Amino acid sequence: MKKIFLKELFYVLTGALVIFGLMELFWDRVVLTYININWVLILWLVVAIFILLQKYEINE
Amino acid sequence: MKKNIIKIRIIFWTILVIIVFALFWFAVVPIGRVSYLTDFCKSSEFIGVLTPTERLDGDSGCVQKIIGDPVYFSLRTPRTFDKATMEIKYRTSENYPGVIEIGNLVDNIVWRYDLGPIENEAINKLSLVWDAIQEEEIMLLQRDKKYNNIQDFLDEIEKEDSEINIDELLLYNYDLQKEYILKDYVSSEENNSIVIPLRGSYQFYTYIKDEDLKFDFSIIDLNQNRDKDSIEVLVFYEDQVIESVELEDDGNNKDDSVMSLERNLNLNSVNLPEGVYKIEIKANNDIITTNIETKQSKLSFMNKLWIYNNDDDIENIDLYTNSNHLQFNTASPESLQTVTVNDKDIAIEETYSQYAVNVLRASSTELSKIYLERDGIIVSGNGLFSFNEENYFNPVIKKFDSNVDINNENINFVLADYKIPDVEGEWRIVTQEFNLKDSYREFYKYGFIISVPGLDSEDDINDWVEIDKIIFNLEGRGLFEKLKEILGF
Repeated sequence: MKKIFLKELFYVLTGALVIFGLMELFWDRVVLTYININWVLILWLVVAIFILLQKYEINE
Repeated sequence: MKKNIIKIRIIFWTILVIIVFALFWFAVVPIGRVSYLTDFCKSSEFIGVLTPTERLDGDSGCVQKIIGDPVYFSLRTPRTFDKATMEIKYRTSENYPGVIEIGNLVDNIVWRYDLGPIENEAINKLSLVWDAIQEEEIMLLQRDKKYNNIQDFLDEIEKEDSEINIDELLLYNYDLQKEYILKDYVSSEENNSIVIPLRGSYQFYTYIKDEDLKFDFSIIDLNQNRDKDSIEVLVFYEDQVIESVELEDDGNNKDDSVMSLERNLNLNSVNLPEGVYKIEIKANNDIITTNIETKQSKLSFMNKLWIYNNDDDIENIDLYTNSNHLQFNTASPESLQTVTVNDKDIAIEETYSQYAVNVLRASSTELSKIYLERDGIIVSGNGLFSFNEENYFNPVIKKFDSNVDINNENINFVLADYKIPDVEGEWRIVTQEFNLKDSYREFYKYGFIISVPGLDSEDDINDWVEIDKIIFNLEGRGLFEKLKEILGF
């Protein structure tokens, strides 16, 4: 369950980063005014690390 | 298991859709109304901090303390708006210069701000001594009470045989549309030339009766800046632009200081009614008007003239003005000189320094004579300028400023678009409206200025204006109205 949760979170954060990036590209500061994309990116990285760690534990 | 995956997926993606929808909602402002606020405790994404920092006392906590004039700030909006209502909360030191004005940037070529009052201490004090009528935003002050309401006063002033002499009236931030007719004016057949080279933008009034409005401007481009140096001439009648002509850049976009050949810009308007016309030459400082040729005999320049120092030095320049307060400065060492205003000498001894003089005149209609030894001087003042006495005429109703002597100039009425600030403890609150349709907007930002004339960060006087809070309530078209417009309903 935890694995599924992390995977789904990873997918939605990836989608969020792409959408936010595109929005910023076409409309300056439309996202950055309210959301710091750096924190979204850090969260995405943390989730990715957890998924990789879980994969590593399963393989072990 | 699969059901759980779908449930989690739906929840996560729904949250993302809601966030994206909210971001678009905040950016589009579909209802057309939004408020932005700053209390200067933490930086606002919408209302910028005041600049430059040299004119601010940096150690003021959650307020912005202005110690020099002027300061600027920006309002960043994700879309355009038509109208802004700004509320500002501020307080001042007891010895501050007495006038605070705020304005929005309307023209980035001549850096013109549309200024309106926040506070005018002289009017506040006068309203305690004279009879004061306040009707919404409009205030009428009378030395002796003659009119019971503002409409009676306006009706009287509109009359041809009005008992109010226009010289006994001062306007403050009020645009009084009164027809100005020169009774003895006769159109001239002779050509009138101004051969004094003028740099950059300038404005003047002229008068016509049974004649064409005809001006030939001779223009050269210094090419000292990289920007395109186009020139636009606008003709205003009763505050409306009735004609405009444009001269494109000379084709040299470099900053190589290669002077262009002299080019001509001709303005010719026919069948115009008798009256006063304002002509504005909009150009950057690369543009020199070397000659103005016209049939019009009346020509009064407004507020500022930058007399360019030509290679063939022009000496002994006379100017006539009704200004009470004059300022001179120069950027070129060869233009350092002694300027004479009436019989008073002012030595211009340093470049880039402002030399100011207050002029005493026997009567409000008398002109002062300014004598310049040579060109290269920027002359500015709170009145009109002319290169000879015959050209001078004054179609402007006097404006209320700190240099006007109300008693000496026999002023009996003051008409102002001004409201005395509301008081909240030691703080004062003022609401000011701005037309954003005509505002200049760049990189999603509108520019604003806060001006406190006379507030100098480099003097030894401890005077200041402290801003506690700025709120902008913005209004514009909603999404529904915009869609209706696009679809043509």
